[in-house]
Amino acid sequence: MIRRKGRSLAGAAAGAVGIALLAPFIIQLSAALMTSGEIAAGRLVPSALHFGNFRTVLSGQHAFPRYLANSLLIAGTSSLIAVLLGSAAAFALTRLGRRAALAVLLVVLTAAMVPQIAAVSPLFLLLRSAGLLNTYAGLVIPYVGLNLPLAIWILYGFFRQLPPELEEAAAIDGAGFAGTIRHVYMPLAAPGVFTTAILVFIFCWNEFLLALTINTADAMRTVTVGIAMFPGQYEMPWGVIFAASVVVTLPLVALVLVLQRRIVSGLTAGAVKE
Amino acid sequence: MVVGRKPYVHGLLLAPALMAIGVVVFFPLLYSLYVSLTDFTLRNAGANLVGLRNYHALFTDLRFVASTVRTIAFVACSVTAEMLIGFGLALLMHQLARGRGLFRAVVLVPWAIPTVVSGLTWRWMFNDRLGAVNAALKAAGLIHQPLAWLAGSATAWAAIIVAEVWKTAPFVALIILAGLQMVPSELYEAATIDGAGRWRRFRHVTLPLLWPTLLLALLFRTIDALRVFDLIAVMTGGGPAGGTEVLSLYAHKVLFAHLDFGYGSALTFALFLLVMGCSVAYARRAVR
Amino acid sequence: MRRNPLLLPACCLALSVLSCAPSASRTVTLAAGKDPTGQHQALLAEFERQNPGIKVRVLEMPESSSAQHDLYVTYLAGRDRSIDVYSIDIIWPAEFASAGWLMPLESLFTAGELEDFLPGPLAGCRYRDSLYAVPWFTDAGLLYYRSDILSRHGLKPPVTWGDLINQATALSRSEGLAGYVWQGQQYEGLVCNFLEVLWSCGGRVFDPAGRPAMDGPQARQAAEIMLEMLRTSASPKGVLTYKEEEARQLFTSGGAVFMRNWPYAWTISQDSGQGSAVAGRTGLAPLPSLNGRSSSACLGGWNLAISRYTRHPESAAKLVRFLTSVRSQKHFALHGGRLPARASVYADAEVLAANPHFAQLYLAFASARPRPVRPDYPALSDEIQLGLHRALAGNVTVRQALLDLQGRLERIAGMDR
Repeated sequence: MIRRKGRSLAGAAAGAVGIALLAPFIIQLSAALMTSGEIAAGRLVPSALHFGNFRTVLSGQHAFPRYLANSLLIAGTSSLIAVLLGSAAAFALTRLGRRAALAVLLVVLTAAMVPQIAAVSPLFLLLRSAGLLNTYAGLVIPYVGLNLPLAIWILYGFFRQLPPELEEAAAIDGAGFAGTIRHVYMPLAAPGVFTTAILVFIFCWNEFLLALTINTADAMRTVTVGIAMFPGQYEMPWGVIFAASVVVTLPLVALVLVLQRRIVSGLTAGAVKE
Repeated sequence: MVVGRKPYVHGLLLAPALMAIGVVVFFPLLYSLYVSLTDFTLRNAGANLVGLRNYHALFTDLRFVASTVRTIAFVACSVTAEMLIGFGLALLMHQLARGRGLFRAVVLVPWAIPTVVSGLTWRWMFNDRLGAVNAALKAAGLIHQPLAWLAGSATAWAAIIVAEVWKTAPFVALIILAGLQMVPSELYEAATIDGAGRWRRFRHVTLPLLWPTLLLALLFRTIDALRVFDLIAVMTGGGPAGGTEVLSLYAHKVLFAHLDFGYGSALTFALFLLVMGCSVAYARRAVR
Repeated sequence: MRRNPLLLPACCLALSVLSCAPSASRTVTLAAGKDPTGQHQALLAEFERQNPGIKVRVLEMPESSSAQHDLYVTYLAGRDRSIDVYSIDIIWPAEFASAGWLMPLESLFTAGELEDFLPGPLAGCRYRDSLYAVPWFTDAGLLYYRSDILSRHGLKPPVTWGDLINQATALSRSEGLAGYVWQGQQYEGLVCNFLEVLWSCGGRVFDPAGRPAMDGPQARQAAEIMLEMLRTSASPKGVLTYKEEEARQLFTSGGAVFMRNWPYAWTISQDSGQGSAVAGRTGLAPLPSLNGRSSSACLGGWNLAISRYTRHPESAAKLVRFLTSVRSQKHFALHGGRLPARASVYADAEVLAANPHFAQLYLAFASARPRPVRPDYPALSDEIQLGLHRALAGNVTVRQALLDLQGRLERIAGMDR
């Protein structure tokens, strides 16, 4: 009885908090459905649903659907590689002594600390000399490097909590290290792995400065740069920008909704021991 | 034979990640360290090594000192709020019996909106005449005259911190939630059987196990907040009267407006050292 | 050889770039802000027809001036060869030229040909007696006013700052609107707004001897005028957070009586379909000045420059000549409303028929002045933004803020010599 009451209380709280979290997004969505006159007049709710802004985003002269596909590909590949390399490294770290692990982790961490404005020019020179400007790899490589520290740290934290006997059991079953990571560690650390993947994915999805500098060709642009293409020199077409923002945010949320169940349960189902 | 005991395997497993980091991160770092030791500006015909001159100049640069103080104050306020709110969100998500997936997706929304756009949205919401914030406050009877939020340092900081916490508390919440999910439910059950109440279970089971995760979230938020750039650039551009100019904003101006690459690199390197100083202390605890 | 740290790694690793250098095909790459007119394609197709063998590739950039500046600096400092022609803001030619990034274009036009360009933009494109960019489009600050409100009160558009402040204060009280809105956030736009007041007081940022003049009486007077707007509530305190769009939205939604803005706001204000509440009730005037003096608007606008690192200087020059020609500028004026940088286009009957307000704009453009044409302008501007915002946001007195500013400008200017 008490338990149920607690639950529904939590539900109510979640509802309230959810609305508070969504407020700016709802304001964006609402403004995206207004005419520019309604926005300028400071209205909060559109007089009628105007889809013109969404039409401009999705069928305008700038290939926004193409930018979406580019972002999906770049962010998806980057987060996959970051999680794979990160898992391998985190696994190895759990097997090193504490001191050695700490040393490596600190080195890795320094990588997370580099101010981005300092990194852009040298990265541009580096990627240009590698012939990687205006390619997907030109963004995937820096994104992986920039996000590996987060991935390694999270995964290390979770892998470390797993009892070492698991690995020995897997070894007796004849699993190699790849098998051990895949079938023993990843499933048990699934919440951590999945969280890492989401966080890295969103970081790449939202990155602007490098995306602008490395990929200047229209066909290779990502969504954040695409959104920056809508404002004029002075003019800020709020409705269009908000519509673009909604178009960029909603698929992401839908993706997470669909994937979180699948991936987490899929990984967990593969565990040696349930 | 347990794979994990062969040392070379560790090397093989670590190598790809370390290489990726090395190329992408350490090359730029060493490069800007080198530039920071030169007097390289665009109007300077050649770049000469000048040793630590640029670093000496930092100590007499009031703008550097002020922006460093602001950066640290910003981090202290915003990271504290993010951790508390993020923790609360994570506990709430963990408590939910139904709709956890949906709520988690909702929590993700602020983090998923590109910072440049959310910065614009907040800037617009804090507009004195047309903004939703003043409209709400007016409707609630709290203010009668429109308040120009971004025109005063204190109110501008309040606006920036609200926007920052709104955006990043979800990041904290997701990491902590993952940590909560890793706590084996048997431990709770055992504690319940021992007659532990809700608070004692939290205090003696959840919190100790969650400690490393909390430190991890704290660590990464601190690192990130120290380098804050986009949000402030969009919302105030460092104004009013330079009152919200943080270190990365100042460094950006020296690099790209003053085109003083030597001094600008020294500024970014100082920022890097600041981040390192703040985080190594946490990092040791988090690993221990 | 000059030691350039940006060159070092580039040289070591540039083999792959050099090896694929195209020599037979001549593709000229133009980097420019996004084309809101939709006319680039048509004009460039025409250019390619006229110049067989030259292909033009357009890299459209976000229109935000600061995003473009950072990107171009990264590319040019890296001696990048992939972009041949840059469309650059009026405040960059001296900076880019002094860095050695731009080709001198003096030989591209005869002196007679250059006469057709508006004097202000042309002056902004010169550095040390050579031309480094060619004016493409121009822009200048204007005073917008609500003609219906003014005529209801029997008022004429203000010609002095004092008039403006008095009218704005009185009308904002009686109409319950904001009086005069302008761009007062700490950013580049604030410098434009300040210079317009400063120039109308007979002041300059640098005196004829090249010394910063922020400690002079004119600078003081100009800053006091701007502060007076806030003190009298002729302008709401919120203008200290406004950029162009905040002011424009307030004005076109009918919330303000006067506004300082660029010509882009005119088109929006006349378009009820776009939600303007003031279509047909808006007037344009030159900015006010001090009693008896003439006013000068601050120039904006975009200019075409050729990269020092281009592989196709001749083709690039042809493209620049073509895009800045009377024909092209007329085409843009007719089809996109972009503001030409050539005087003759403003005299063209067809153009005037399509854009009657151009006659009014020309008056402002003809006397408009560029911001200080100096390689260190971005650094100066950064300091002016900060110094002025300190005076206006009220942390320190105008006197103190300007004295501090003077000191910082002297330091920067000293570095240049």
